[in-house]
Amino acid sequence: MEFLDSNTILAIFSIPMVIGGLLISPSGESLSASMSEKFPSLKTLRGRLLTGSTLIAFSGFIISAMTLWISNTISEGAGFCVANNIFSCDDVLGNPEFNTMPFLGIRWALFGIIIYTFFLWLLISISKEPQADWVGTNIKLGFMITSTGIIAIAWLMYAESVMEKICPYCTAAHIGNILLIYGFWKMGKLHDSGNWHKN
Amino acid sequence: MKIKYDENGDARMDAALTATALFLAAMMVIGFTSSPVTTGTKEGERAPNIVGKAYNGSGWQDFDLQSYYNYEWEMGDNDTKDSQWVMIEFMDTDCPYCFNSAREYQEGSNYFVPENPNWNGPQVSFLASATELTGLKGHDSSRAEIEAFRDKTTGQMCNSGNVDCSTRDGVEYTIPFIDDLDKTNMDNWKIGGTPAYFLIQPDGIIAWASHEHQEEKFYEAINRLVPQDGE
Repeated sequence: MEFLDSNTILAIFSIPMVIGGLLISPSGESLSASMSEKFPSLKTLRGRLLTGSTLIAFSGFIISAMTLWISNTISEGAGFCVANNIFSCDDVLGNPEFNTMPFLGIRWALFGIIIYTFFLWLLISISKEPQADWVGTNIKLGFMITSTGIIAIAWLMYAESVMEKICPYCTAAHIGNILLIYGFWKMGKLHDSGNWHKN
Repeated sequence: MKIKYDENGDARMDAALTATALFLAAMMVIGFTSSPVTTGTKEGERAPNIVGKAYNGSGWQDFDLQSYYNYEWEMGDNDTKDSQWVMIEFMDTDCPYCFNSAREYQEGSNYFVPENPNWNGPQVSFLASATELTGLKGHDSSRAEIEAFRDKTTGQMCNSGNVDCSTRDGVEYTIPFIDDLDKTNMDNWKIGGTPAYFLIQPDGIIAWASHEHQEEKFYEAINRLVPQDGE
């Protein structure tokens, strides 16, 4: 991937997240109107929330995987997105003091992959069987875990402030988590209102 | 007999299989295209970086250990003249053993250089990280003491504060002495006592650590591990 710089790669991986974010946003209905003929599921709010959230989770998964790859590559000695300015993921991911989870000792990026895999499981299973009686539980679980993710995001933002560097890949994964909080919250609201099954 | 089964079980199982397949695919791609090296102070691990100030004889300058590395280097590289190895000593100017072995280290720093006709290997850049071991009698150190130890100048007391620094064996050093009076480097490298020596490959990987080879001197390790012409 030497022909693409790290920011371009991140921009490409973020496209599904941007589309997903637009789909779950209040303007998702008007934005998806032109696509709803080709993708009928986008006609309903439930369909837009599920499709948008799945796209966000998939994008977060890919970005987390890329972050782990970068983290490994840095440990081998290569530079991937080193920069002299504040945006340098090499400085953040290459810092052994902050690139692993406290207590567990695993890389944050690996944790990101695991957690996004879990979100994908929640969302794909809901998409496959949206009328099932366990859907409400899955939505609540998704909302609780994404909300708890705020603690991890806050800790990583603290680490970045200590290093005076920002890792764009990590930030993109954090944005994905925040968007999913909104996505699961909206799904929960729709489910609790009883309109979930009407959609 | 009525058989109970969960009609929704398949949806969750299908989703689990899809998510697991994605996870495994990602891990396989990462595993095949990268090979992580742990940062640590054991042989084979990547040496933790050291950033700070170092005294080079004329003043305290910015120091970054990573600036010594060439990450493209591989052990098979035969062009030994172009690769730079690093030998670093963690020491305390008030540590009696460090004081008494100063001559050995200073002579080594002048020996393993391409300019020496008796040495057919690459440059081995010697460094010293000078700390202040706390809680020990006479171990009060300072930048002035580090300068006096390195340059063999008078007016500062080394070796547990018992003797003037200028009385140490050997001549003055020409290598950088890194300021580690706050023990940051010692703590990051998890070093319990001084002196401790590490030989680092040109790509930043620790090739030899004195605590793993108590019986071997640092210069014996260099002779054994650093490739020389004809090898």
